[in-house]
Amino acid sequence: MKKLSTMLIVTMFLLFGCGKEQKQDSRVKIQEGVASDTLGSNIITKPLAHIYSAITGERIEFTNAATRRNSADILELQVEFYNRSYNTERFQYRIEWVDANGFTINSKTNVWLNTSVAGKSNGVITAFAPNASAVDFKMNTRDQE
Amino acid sequence: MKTKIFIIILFAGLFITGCGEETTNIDIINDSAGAVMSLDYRDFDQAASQMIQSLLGSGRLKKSDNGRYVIATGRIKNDTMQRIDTDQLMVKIERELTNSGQAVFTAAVGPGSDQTLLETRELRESDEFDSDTTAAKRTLIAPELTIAGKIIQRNVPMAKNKQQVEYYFQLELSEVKTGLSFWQDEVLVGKRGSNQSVPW
Repeated sequence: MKKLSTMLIVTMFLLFGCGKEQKQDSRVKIQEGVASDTLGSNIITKPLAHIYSAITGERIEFTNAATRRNSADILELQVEFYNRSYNTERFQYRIEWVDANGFTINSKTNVWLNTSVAGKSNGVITAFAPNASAVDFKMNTRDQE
Repeated sequence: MKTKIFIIILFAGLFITGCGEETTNIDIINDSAGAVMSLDYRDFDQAASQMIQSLLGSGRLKKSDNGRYVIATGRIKNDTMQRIDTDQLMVKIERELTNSGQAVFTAAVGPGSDQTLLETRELRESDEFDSDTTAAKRTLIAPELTIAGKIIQRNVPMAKNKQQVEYYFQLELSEVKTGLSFWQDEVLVGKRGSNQSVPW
């Protein structure tokens, strides 16, 4: 009997995955307690889904980085990311801007900044270059103390 | 007896000299130390960085003739319980806006104006100086914009001997000719910790 229930839980995981999201507009992420129950948010299966997420080390996934020039000819950066874990993730990022010769532009904006994103949610970082000579960027992240 | 005294002195010596915290330089590039309740350099860096990006990103400093705005720094009011030199914020902002190529700052007017600048202009009256090397009248450029603001502190008591301290950095850029607000922003730096730590 015990074996059967264990097999059932494992099968459920394999079939539906952990924290499987409901079919909806991908631009809208609904957190636990707001959306209808899924295997990842149901009161019975939720602990297992959270444990699975923690064991597999689900965290931030950077999905897209785009740049454009604004009306003042300043390079604007937008970095999109998604928090795969169930917990709010806090981290720091630092953006350095690079000129056409590949040199890093010395700027007081090149500092570590804090950001956070709720579990299973989208996040976005926007930044502006310090002057019009910037043509590209480099971004680093680190765990927030 | 002598041995006992010697051992006590030895231990006391070790305790006094050995337990002192070692002095280290702060790694300001990758400082991983925990937050403090007062405002430290990281908070000023963060606030300045966000303000600069907000202003440059707004596109409000782009002149139609690709020229540069002349800005005068007004009063930055320190409305916190801490002794703060507001230049910690403004020097970074002035530097970045100057380097952006979209603005220059005048040192001739404002609370932080360079008095020597005005004193040297009085030299034109002196017979001791070559008149070709002194500044002529009506050559100073008047500011088109002014930047002013304040830093506010708000303490909020919390349960379990904790407190929340909120620091608001507010800046406003105004046009001298019309008095209209050109750009405005606020950066909030919030901290929570023991109410034993006094944020000043």
